[in-house]
Amino acid sequence: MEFGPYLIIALFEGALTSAVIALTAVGLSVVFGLMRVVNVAHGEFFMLGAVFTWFITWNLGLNPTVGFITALLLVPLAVGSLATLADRLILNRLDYDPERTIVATIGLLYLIQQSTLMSYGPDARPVEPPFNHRIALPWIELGESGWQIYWPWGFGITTYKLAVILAAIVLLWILLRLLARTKYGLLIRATQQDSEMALAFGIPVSRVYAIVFGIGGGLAALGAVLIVPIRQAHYLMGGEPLLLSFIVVIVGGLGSIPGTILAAILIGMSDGLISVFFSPTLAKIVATLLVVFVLIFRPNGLFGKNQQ
Amino acid sequence: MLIIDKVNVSYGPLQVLFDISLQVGEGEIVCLAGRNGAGKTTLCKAIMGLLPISSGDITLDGEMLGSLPAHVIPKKGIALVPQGRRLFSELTVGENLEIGLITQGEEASTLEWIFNLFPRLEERLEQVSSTLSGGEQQMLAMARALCLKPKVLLLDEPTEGLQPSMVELIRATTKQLVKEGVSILLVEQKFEAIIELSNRVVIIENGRNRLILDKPSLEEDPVILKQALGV
Repeated sequence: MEFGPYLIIALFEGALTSAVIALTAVGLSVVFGLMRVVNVAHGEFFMLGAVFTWFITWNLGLNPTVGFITALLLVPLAVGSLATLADRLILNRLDYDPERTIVATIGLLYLIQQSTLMSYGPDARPVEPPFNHRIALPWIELGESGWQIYWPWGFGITTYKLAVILAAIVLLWILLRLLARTKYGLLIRATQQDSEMALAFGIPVSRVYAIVFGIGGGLAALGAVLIVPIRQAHYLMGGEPLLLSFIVVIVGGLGSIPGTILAAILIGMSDGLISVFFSPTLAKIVATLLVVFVLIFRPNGLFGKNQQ
Repeated sequence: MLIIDKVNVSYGPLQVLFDISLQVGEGEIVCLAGRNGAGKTTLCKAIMGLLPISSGDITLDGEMLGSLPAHVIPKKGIALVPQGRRLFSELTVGENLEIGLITQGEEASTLEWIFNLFPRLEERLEQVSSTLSGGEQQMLAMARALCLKPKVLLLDEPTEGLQPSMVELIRATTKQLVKEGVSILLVEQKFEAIIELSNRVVIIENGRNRLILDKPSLEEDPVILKQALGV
């Protein structure tokens, strides 16, 4: 296959990675932006999303499409509820102290991970996608008799991957609209700017925190539901999305949702391109180096505000 | 009537208010005066439930406020215009007002009342509040608090850093609010403002009640107030 089709495939894989990282990282960013809590257990909410999806699609006797749609609706709610419970039982009692909540969420990470290992087991388990057709793509090349269309072998995309990218775009658009246009979005934005004044104006800040922590967990789970038919469910799968989410949130600017989305596109695309043309390991090295440069030259990220 | 009775407040191990007592009657302006660091802003925060009181009582029309969660207190009829305004700076003027209205729940008539007091805000509804001038920001800070339709308004140094015309407007609005039945606890350090506006002055020093002066005493011997303020 020529360089051009390879590049298109790399960009497409990059768009898929960007879509899933954006959903997951926005959850982390919303929580940090509002509560100043660095949620080290965020990747475990992602993992739970994948494991719960496997459970619903394999154990409830539903056909793959119905099972997947059920998971898409229920799993983010279930994981979001667990996250809210974690907020009430742990973070709220620590008064959202930045240092103590880091230690507490490390504990939560191991609690969720090891509970999953004990109940679900160590195996990676597949989830069948609800649909997965291959769309072959054409390529145009200048030949001896002028421009010619031909169909390179292996050059194509799958409908499921395309659907994941579109779904992530729609979901992020809905989230941004909810934050910008609804009463609850307004309360969240006000609390994010000045939580003490929010209290003085009758906003139940601790309830807002609990809901937002639930939304953060739910978004991570949503990313996992979408990606698990491509990558399988495993109890250790939370590490990579956590690392990528941290990279994206730092590059984009702590607490900035537009910055997080832009950084997810940047990191996802570079991951796709470098993975296809070189190696996935090099892609992670480049992403981590990017964080180093951002921290040196723009410590608050591309869109972050001064956190002092 | 707002009654503060022997209130003590601490920041961790450091006690900052000691047995503070005062009352704000209906339609009164009570001025809370004292030098920087005396505890005036701390008392406002304690009234709003933003700082826990270690002992003493705060009651509004007989209802105890001290044990209520902070977010419930504004619904009982107390609103704060904080020192330095503390607007939700990335929100628009309209959104800042909406925050107060969501809590209070009564929109149209409240907004009409507020736009009568501050017509300029109606023209700036879509403007982000951080881009307003200092005077407009102070108007918005007051308007946002008035969206709660408070019985008692806590005004913490509302004219600080404003140009003279804006100071006049804020003082005139304060008098207008009192005529409309709102009680006001005014934190103020300017001698002329205290003389012009207040029915009573409570002077605190190092977190303790030092002196309470009523209007006749103030008019008779303003030197006492000047001495207390260090003017």
